[in-house]
Amino acid sequence: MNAPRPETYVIVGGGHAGASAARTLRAEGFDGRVVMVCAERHRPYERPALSKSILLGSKRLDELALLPDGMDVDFELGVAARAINPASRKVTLSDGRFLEYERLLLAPGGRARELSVPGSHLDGIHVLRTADDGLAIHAALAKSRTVLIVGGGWIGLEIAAVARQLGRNVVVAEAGARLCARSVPPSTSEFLLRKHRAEGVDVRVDCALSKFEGDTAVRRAHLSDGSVCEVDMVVAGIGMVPNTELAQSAGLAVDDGIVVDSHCRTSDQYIFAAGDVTRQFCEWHRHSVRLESWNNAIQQAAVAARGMLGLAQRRADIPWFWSDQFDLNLQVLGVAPPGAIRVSRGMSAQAPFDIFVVDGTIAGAIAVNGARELRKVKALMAAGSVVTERQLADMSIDLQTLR
Amino acid sequence: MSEWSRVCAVGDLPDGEPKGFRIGDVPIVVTRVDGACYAAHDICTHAYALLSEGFLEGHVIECPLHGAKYDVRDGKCIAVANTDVKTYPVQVEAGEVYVTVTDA
Repeated sequence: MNAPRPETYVIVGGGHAGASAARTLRAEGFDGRVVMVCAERHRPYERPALSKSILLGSKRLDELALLPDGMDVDFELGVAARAINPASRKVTLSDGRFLEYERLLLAPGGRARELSVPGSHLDGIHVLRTADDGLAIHAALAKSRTVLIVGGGWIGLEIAAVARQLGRNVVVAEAGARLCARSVPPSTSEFLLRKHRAEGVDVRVDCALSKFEGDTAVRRAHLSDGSVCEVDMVVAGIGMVPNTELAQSAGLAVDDGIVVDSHCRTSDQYIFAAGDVTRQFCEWHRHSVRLESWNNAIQQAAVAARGMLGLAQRRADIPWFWSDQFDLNLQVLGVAPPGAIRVSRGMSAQAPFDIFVVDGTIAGAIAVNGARELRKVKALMAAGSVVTERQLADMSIDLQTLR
Repeated sequence: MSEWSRVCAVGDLPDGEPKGFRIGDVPIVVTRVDGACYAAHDICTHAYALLSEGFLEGHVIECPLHGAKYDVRDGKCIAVANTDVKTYPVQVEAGEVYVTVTDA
């Protein structure tokens, strides 16, 4: 007679969400089998370092492991999930094997959007999403004098900052009117633009890419401002595409992201989803959103893991992300909806601290090198404290006292 | 032999607020929770940041940059980072806080 198969929870994806789910399952006492299917050949690692210390060469990949060695997880490395059969609760793997599951977590993240202009196939054109991408850019930076960054978002600006720190000539071409337009208001975009220009980055906004030229490797980039850039390498930071195909073909509800409820459950009761690939209602945005951030991946996956175990809970964290560029640590907490009143606390040009107020409560805040103060704002937001613009702007008032 | 260095008076450590000091080349963060004092290496193991600029809630110190959390009693990492932070023995005598970083 066969021994009964232990209860098996399968996690598809070896990023921050997958790792956080595995950790949470074990922390909550799950003693069945946890299998993690990782398309990359690496165990989960700390991804924010890819656009910073990995590029600088100040950290090695093996220093960035997310899960401790002794963690009871069966890793399937370098293997992709190809199909899900929700009826028989099986995942088919790229090597032909299949895994049966009691619960399945989809945390496959996304892939970097690729350029499509003529010449995009040339060597020396990079994207940054994985450790291997980061290592390739690190190696290419060592041999380059001039780097073109396509896209003035977080990835592009962080790479630009590192490339400048390494003494490279850096051009950033952003097709839109301002930097990081999707996630911060104009005041922060302007601050970032000033900072990068002051650090010697040639930032061009309203500047699209027309085509690349070169024999085998990229040599020139034609830009929509009419200029031609001689370049040694290019990095495209033009966003990500969520890996929703697996969910879609399994018949799960997908709408620019796998749609989940407050427990991170998909439209199938045994399948959950978390991380960049997931669309969920957010109390702070007041609608359903797909958040692409480190913190969201970790928090959402912890919720998903508890959901898989059938534990009751409510997600209460406030959306939060950071970006490290040059000597700046910029943190964005909550949201800055159009129409919010912006209160500048401290009025510092070098380290702005903006608080966004809607109907007398704080909707969000953006701080540069102001983590300690931001923490106080977070407490006010969590408590729903009613505040006035005058109080928030008054530096003689300790924010803690407004609770 | 451990060499004890005076870092501050107990009264200089308000409950709930970490403070940074230096003993020789070693940056340390000193905390006081429920009357007991603790010392740890001040640099977060996750990315370069000073824990003394972070937040203290109960026995948990949180890095201001990316939210790594450690228990001040044993340096154990609770969130984000994977490496514990080193802790150092503390002695309080006559209202003064002494820390040794030389003890193996």
